Amino acid sequence: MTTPTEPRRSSIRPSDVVTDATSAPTPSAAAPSVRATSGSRTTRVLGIVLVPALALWAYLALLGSPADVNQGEVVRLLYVHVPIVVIAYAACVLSAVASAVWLWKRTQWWDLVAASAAEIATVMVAATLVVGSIYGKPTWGVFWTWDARLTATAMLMLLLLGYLAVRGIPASVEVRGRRSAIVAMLFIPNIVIVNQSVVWWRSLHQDPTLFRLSLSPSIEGLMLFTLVYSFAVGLLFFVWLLIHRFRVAYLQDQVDAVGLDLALEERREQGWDDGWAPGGAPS
Amino acid sequence: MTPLLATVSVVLAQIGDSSTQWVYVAAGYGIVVIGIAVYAVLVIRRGRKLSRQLDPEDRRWMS
Repeated sequence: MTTPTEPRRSSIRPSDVVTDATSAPTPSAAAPSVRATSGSRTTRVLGIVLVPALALWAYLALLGSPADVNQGEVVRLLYVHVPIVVIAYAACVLSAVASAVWLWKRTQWWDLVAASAAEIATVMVAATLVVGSIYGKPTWGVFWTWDARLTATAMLMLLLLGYLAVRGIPASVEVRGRRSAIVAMLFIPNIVIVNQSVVWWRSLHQDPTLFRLSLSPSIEGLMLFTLVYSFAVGLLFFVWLLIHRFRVAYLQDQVDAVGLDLALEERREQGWDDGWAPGGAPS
Repeated sequence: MTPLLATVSVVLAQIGDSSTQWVYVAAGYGIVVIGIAVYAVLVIRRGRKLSRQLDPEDRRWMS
């Protein structure tokens, strides 16, 4: 990792950069074919797979799967609510793990992975809370209640917003990475609390439906298939989005580094014009 | 109340319940799908904007 005065660009090693199987050319060879986007062959293939996969998900969730005997049509909200919760969990765990690795390795790649995953997790947790509230009104009669799981999820949302706020504080790459990594470490215990809240406390939420100790899900047939399929599509979408978001974070750091280079160069020129030279000796 | 009228009223009540439930379903899916889609578009647009500010060799892993 660099010191605060060094351009951040120099801290990125070629092995740290996300690379497609088809890429990793030398800079000069790659230059003519590199497009000004965050996309690549990998993301394009993922995107092409995702379009029909999402269409099938929408069909199954809204039309193909049956209405529930007790909940009626409202059960369809679970096919969007549960997958985005799983994406949020996955993103939070990835952010925490990447932060831990960053504290150990101190390579910028892990810092950017942690930040990208945390931002996606924030969006997903916000979506979870919104859909959960909409699901709660016809099911429980209220949009919000201080239920254990709802409260723990709201705390997770605040923690994620805190993480993003900490990353937004102007600081060197090293300080920014250390501060945000410490906050990200708190994601894991919070997720454990969210997940186990229905077991530890009395809750409006139902007990685990899929991942039960008896290994027998409490739903079956097309409803089970739709739910599991929703997980698969959701995770595929998460991978696609994470790759894009990581590259945006990398590009942002590159732009910042170039700006820092220019500012340092300008400052040096000004200093020399004023009779100052590096090393403190008057010119 | 005749049996026919009773049946019609039950069916209408079920349709009413069902349509109310569909409002919640539509609201939930609409907000989430539009919200996440807008976020994804913003990420991609930001990537394009930042890429244009850099030399090609600075975004070398993209092919």
